[in-house]
Amino acid sequence: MAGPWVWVLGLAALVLIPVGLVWGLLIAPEDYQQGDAFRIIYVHVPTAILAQSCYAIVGSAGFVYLVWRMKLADVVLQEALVIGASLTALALLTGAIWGRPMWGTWWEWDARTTSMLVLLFLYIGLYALREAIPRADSRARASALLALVGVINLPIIQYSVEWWRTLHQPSTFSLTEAPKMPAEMYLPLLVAVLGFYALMGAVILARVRVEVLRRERGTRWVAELAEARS
Amino acid sequence: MSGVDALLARLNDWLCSVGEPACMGGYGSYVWISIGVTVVVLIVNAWLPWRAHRALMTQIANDLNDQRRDAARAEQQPAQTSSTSADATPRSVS
Repeated sequence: MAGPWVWVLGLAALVLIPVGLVWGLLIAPEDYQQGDAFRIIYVHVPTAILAQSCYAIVGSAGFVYLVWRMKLADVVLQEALVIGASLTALALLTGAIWGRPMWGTWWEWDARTTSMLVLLFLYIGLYALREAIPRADSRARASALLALVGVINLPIIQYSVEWWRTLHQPSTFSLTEAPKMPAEMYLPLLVAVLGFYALMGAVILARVRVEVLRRERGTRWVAELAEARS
Repeated sequence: MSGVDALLARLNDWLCSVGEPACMGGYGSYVWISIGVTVVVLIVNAWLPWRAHRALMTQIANDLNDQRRDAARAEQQPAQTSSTSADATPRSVS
């Protein structure tokens, strides 16, 4: 069932990400204040948005597991947190690289960067918690609970640039306001973000598929599937 | 200037000697390192489940083949055992 979606989303990502990056890096005009350094936005913003979206998936999966005890939700939580952790680390790294020429420092204990660091610690904590508990149902329940508690960090990240005076610039994307950037800068960013979403969808589905097969490997349907493949 | 900054400055100089798209107005090292690291992480993220899926399916198919071979051997063995004992009985009598 997941197979065709993995391919569709993977192909969409394969088209959208290169188009967004080439458009943003080579065609979009340079920023009047930051010059060409602003082009880091074409990887920094998608990874930062996706890192938060991944945590929204982790939190939702935790909620579904706690309420309905759905085993698939536990699998989704387990797989999405690995992707989320890598995207959060990327967002922090690209932010630091961007900060060096713009702020004159690799790191600033700014509200946005600090809340993103907390997000990374949440991902790492969830992973460590899952590794530490051997019993499957206790592991699933504990990690679902922690995932749900960590959701509180998402609005903090989102509104940190409004609630506190920070070095970090305001949010690039807003659901309620028109973009502040000109279209020739904004559109490639939108394409890149869509591409990153497609890739994240494909990767999470592919990872969930592998984990479900691993957990169900003794069953008849998995044997039939493997037979059909070979 | 720290060692990392000096390294980035040297990389910038080299990128600017290559051409304008690589130079990025003097920020080439920052921009291209960000892009490079991101692309590598994305590729690794996409490749890992693909490799795991292939390995798992191969393993399951191999296990199935082993099970089938064991079952066939188990079916053959009682038949062989009974034929051996049937052969042996007359010999011992003679």
